[in-house]
Amino acid sequence: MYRMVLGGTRKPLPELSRGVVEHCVLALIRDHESYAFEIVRVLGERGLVTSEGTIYPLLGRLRREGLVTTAWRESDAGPPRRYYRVTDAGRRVLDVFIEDWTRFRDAVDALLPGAIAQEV
Amino acid sequence: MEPVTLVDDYLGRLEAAAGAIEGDRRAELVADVREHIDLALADRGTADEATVRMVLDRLGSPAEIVAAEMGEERSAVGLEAQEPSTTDPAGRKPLSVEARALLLLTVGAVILPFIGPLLGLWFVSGSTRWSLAQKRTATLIVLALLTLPAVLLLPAVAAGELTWVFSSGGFLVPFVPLAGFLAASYLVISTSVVIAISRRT
Repeated sequence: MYRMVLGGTRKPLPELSRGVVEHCVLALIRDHESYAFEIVRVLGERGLVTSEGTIYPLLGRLRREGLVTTAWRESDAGPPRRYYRVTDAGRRVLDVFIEDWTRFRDAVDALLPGAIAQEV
Repeated sequence: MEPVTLVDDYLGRLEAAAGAIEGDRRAELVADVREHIDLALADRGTADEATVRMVLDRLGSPAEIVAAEMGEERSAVGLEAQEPSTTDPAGRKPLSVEARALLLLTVGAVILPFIGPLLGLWFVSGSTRWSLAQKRTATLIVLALLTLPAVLLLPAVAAGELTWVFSSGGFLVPFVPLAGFLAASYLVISTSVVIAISRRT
């Protein structure tokens, strides 16, 4: 009942994850390339994406914006896979995000009731 | 329903829902999702009905995926619209506040002596791209160069040497447009320097 009042099942706050998940993708493939299925799996495990299919439009946009590049690689098991890798531009975007995110997170943490109660 | 039919049915619905998306991207999206299903089933080592249903369930509905694709399109467009503000320090976008400010400071200073540069400063103050320090310096440059002629000529005017003012004071006239030009070049150069430094680090 309570959930219905809040507006249906609790997904990981779509308003919150918008603009964040794409940076998580960049972070995931920052140091080593990966293929989409693997990226989706990790994000799903951490509860960052509920409808796994929505990550593909996101990956497509990151590619069109030149933040990631892709290359087809043969795989031992099954058909060739498309691997994603961060470009220099993507790395810069991620660096900026890391700074912004840290500041944002600290500011929110400091304001949340729990944190305030601890401080008083 | 047979597991294979389930997948085909899902992909068929995805393709139908994606009708509004431009051809290349629609094909790619469907291919991506198809690959995902193949890999997910291979990963689990089984393709029975329950597994297929779970894999499809986790993918989300075709409508949801298509909505995400359309959403990306919009946000990508939004990003392009913002892009020039970060890549174009001199504000070459015709109607930006910075462009108006620079135009008034330079061309405006010639066409409308005194008024042009002062209007330009007003636009400068409204810019979000220039820092407060830059705005202050630009204002100082304009005000200093605009008052210079007055300061130099005032003693002569006060002494009643009006003939001298008109015959020899001409050398001070260029200071009026110069004020705007100097302030404009200062803004452009200081902004480029800041951007060049931030790019390098």
